[in-house]
Amino acid sequence: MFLNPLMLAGLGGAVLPLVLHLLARSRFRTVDWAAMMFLQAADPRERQSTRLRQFLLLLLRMVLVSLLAVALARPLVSDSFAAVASGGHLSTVVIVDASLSTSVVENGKPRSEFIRQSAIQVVTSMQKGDEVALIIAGLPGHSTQWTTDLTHVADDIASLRPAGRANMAEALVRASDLLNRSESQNRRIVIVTDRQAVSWREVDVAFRSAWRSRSRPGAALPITVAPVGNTSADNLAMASVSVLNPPVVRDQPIEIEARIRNYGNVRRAGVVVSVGIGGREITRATVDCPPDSNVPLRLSARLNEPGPAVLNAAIQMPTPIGIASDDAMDLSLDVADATKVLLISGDERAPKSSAESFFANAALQPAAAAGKPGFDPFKVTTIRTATVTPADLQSAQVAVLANVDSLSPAMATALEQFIYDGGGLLVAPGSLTRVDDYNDRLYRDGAGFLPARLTLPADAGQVIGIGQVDLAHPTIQFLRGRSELPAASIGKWFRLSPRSDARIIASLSTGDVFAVESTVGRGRVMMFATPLDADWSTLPLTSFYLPFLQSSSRWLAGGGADRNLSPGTPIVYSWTGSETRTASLLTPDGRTIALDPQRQGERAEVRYGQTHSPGVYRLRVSNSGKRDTIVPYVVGNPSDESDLTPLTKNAWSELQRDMQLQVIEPTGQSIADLLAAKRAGHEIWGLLILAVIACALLETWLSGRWSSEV
Amino acid sequence: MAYVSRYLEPNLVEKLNHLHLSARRVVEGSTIGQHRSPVKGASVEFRQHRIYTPGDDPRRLDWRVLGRTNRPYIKEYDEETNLRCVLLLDCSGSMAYAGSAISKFDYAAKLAAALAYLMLGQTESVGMGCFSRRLDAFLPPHASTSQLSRVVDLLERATPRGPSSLGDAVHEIANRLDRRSLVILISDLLAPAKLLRDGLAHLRHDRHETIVLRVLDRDEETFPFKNWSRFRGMEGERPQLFEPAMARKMYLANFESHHEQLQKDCTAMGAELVTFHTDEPLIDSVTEYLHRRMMK
Repeated sequence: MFLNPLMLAGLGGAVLPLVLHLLARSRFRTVDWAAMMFLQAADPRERQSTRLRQFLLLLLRMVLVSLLAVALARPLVSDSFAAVASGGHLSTVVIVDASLSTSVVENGKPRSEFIRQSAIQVVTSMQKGDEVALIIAGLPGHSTQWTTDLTHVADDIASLRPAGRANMAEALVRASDLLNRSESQNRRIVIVTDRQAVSWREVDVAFRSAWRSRSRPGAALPITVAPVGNTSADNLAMASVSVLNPPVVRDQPIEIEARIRNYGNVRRAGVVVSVGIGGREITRATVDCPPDSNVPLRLSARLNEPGPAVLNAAIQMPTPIGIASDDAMDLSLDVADATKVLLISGDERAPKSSAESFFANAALQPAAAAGKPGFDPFKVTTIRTATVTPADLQSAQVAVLANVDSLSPAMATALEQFIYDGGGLLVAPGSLTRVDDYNDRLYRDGAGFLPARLTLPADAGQVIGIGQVDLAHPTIQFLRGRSELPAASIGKWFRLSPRSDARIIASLSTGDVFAVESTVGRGRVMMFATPLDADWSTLPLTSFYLPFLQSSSRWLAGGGADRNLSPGTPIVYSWTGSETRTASLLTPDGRTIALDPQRQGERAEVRYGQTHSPGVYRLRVSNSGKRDTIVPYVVGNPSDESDLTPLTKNAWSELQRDMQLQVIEPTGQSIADLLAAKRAGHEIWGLLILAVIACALLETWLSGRWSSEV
Repeated sequence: MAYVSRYLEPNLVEKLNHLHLSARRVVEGSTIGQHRSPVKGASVEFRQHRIYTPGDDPRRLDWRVLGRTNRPYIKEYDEETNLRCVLLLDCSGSMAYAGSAISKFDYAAKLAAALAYLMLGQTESVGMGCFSRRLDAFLPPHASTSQLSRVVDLLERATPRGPSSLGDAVHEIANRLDRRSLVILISDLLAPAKLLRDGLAHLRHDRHETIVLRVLDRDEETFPFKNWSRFRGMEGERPQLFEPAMARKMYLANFESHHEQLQKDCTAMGAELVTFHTDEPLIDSVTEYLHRRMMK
């Protein structure tokens, strides 16, 4: 096979020496010569020898021209008997990088377009009977299989859009599995990708070692990598966005943190970040981003529309730097009308001002407690322990066990389910609390939902205070900037023995735990060492009490299903009840997918797992006779993809060495031609040029030797 | 005289006049220690006085004249002037070859004229023969002053053509010479060496002294041709087409071998072989040769 067969026309040039020879003979000049006697060879064999030498020189010159023509035609020599054995058919796994990083615009076009073109060239250059399997790096969930319909594969490639993160290790394993299932003996893997190092992160030393061990000795799978695009790593991305003080309550101030990551080595000054909901900007700020930095930016806002919402934080630049789609990030959240708190009180004695509910109500709904108009961020429902039922939990976001002596097993189970579903529980034991019941039913040696084991309270005989707080905990953040700890006097307290996974929020000056928290299922549980009233301490009388109780309740209500997902994490929506509901999902690319609810007893749920494409997925749940519920889920961009740092030369060299992969850098020749060359074997033009040089030298030497020196 | 100046250019004549060489000494230079001088023991009949020139035997000085005139003269006698020299010029077709310089024949003719002038100027007898297939013309040796004109006239009439018969010509000239003579053969010697050897043997047998002056064009020594050429023989040989580069080695080997054979034969026959090249000025070649002879 020849890469440049047109040059074979040069073979005609092989007759050139012959023509010149004949031409020279025919265009001889006549010399009147005196010494003819010396031109007569004494030996007839000498004359024969002279003619033979002439013929040999002529032949050598013809061979020289022929070799040159063949060399210029770039012949290929097959180096694989396997190709012959398999009838020449080829099985190719084409791995196409469709990750987010390929959306970078380069020379006016997204890099993904160049990748698609190259991949299509690879596919369309295959021959009839060849089989191909397409693996899309960046879209791990898609299925692939061998096909000989090359046009269909090319169409699939043409429809690819950048999304997700490329994991070359995963793609290579899939490719290897596919090739192992192929009956063809002539197999190869072709990877068309950008130069991003992140894509190859999992192809580490261990992977390479495992890859070598997977390969048959001496028959490593030939891997060809065609990197596309330049090596610029400049990119400005929205790295994260979060609400620092959840839950988000209507008309209550929220603090939003947006982190801007500058991957480039150029300082970006005056970067404008805007935050909005439903296309309406609610706040904006400006920030400077030094080179290679991750800059946090805090913005304050109030949301006044209750219900599910998608908050959008975006970098506003006239021209996107690097990847455009990572300049913005969505956050799905719920704007609560007011957090619903179920206060289960075990001590509703008279006077009311002595009861736990009095202090809790005063702290959580101060306007209502004072009988004044105004918006309270919490709506508290107080129920005595004796009358509480599991049904009371359905409408609550946070349950508070205030000096509850003991819970019935049914109530304990309901409460546990409530927490697992995302509810919050605040436990404030008191004088009525039965320690054994708590430990046996609720703590269960760490298997229950309580974050700590209770130990009987004892009078310390002294008055102590709060000794230490965890300022990093969201419930304590209101203390930031203050130099003094709350000046509360605590005369009696439960000694709490936290679980290993519990987080201590505050401690007493004796070192005993004052407040501890743990996560249970989707919910959160906090536990105090003192009751909510002022029987054991003066805490309710301090300025610490109200913000601490409010932030704790808000924090506990902030649990529940997180609707901000990473790519590939399934969307799960569940409900309890026997009514029939239908669900459909609107994907970011505009498709509507009907979801079948799966029921198990009273619980039902819908699930969708193909969340590899970043964007907002809107789940519509219809309940007959009621208003549809629309729940937004946000699948974020893979943050790794924002890092456009290319593979270093050393890294490429290591890959080439360990994986025996070959890198085809873009040249004037199309990748299809280069691969065709590799398929047919290796080029031998260099060898032929050496032969041409050797022929030329031999011809010079022989003609010099045979014609003698002048 | 126009013919004379054609063969004897004024520069050459001037040079020859100032050579102050004895033609006899030149000839003796080639024979001392080998043969008797052709003039030794001759009778003494006074003929004329001649100014002494370096190389003359001082014993032959005329002391009386020296005493009267204070000028050195020597006496010459008739028998002493009978140095008979025959110039045998090759007029075969091969002598017509001219590369980048004049033809070999023209060069040889000038050489012959120069030698004749030199010897006649010292009252020696000079004859001349021209040959190609045979001895075409022969001018018997004579010492008269008009002999130069006859030599030049013979040269003027000679034309190089036809095949060469070197051996026959030498035999013929040997048969014509009834007295011992100095035979100077001027030829390109493009003939089988054996023919020359036989001729020289004949001359030697008749006790003639022989000098062989070989005139060659430089092309004949180097064979410098590059392009395909058809070589057409100048003596009627069959034309041959050659790529010169391929034939050069063979040609040069043959040439060298032939020349070595000539050299060997001349030495064996007591003759001196001297090669002249047509691209070298005749004046320089002649004077250098004569000086070299004098030094022997």
